[in-house]
Amino acid sequence: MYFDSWSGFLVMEGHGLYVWSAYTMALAVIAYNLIAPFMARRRILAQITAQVRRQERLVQRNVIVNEVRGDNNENRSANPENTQLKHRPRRQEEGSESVERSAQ
Amino acid sequence: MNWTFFHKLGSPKWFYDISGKWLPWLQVSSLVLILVALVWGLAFTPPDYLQGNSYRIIFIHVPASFLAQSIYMMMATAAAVTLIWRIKLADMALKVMAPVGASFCILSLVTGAIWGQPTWGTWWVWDARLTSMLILLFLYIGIIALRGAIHTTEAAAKACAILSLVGVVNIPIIKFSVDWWNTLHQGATLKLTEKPSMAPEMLWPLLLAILGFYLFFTMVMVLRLRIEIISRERKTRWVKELVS
Repeated sequence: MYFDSWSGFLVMEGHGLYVWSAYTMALAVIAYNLIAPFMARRRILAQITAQVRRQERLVQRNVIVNEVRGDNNENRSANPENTQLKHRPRRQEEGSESVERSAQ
Repeated sequence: MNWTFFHKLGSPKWFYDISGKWLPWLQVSSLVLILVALVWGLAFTPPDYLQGNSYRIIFIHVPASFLAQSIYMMMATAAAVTLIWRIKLADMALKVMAPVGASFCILSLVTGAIWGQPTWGTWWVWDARLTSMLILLFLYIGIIALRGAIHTTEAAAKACAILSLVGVVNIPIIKFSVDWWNTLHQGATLKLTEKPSMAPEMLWPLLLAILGFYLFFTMVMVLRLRIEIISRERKTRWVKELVS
């Protein structure tokens, strides 16, 4: 170790404040880069699990069977019967809950 | 020549699987290297004969500045790959590198300012090196903001790729600014073509710190890229199985 004492290490012959603030800044940047990905990971995993659960619920109720088979909008609108089937049971069975959900 | 590895490299799922194996090694090696290098630089190296103890900032300032420029070059490379081959993974890399590069660019500017005060007697001067580095930060911020402003993924990818490529002109300006203009900033300490102008007992911790910072960046980029992959591939079966 170059310095004789802890106080000498802290003061660094008058340059301590500069050196230590630079190292603190480095620590802050390293901490940001470590924390930010974990926060993002949690947020996105929560989004995806919510999405998967919502889809599973809807599949169970047989409401969006068409969407699960294939995400093809043209096919669905080309066949008016299909469109009707898709919308009708939802309006009859469920109340405001499903309206809210489809608005999302 | 067999090109399968190239196509595999562009597959998000393949990258997700293989990068999971790299992560623990990257995490341990980068953090250990940075810790060793910074403790060495702070406590065990002798002070500079001219600058005294303030020169110890070099062990952060130089690696951060190297990274800020290298990350930009990597982003520009990813931008070219995005535009030429339309590889999705390249655009994801471009996106996740930007905030990391910006953070190291800020670190470089702030540590430079802190170092400038005891050495030059001022926090900031509008000279070529400092100004071109500030422009690099604005480029990073511009790329992040541009992506935030465009909602379709493909359009955002193209716009950000073009902006990244245009901004490359700034990189040689940063590098040669200390040679082309009279600046307060000292010349390069490390050169590939010459012997370093630094004593070995100061050089070793600096080289370790640079290596540690690069490994740290690789680790952070892999972490962020894996999250971006999951986010963009959320409709695929493998991601749904992974999550549930």
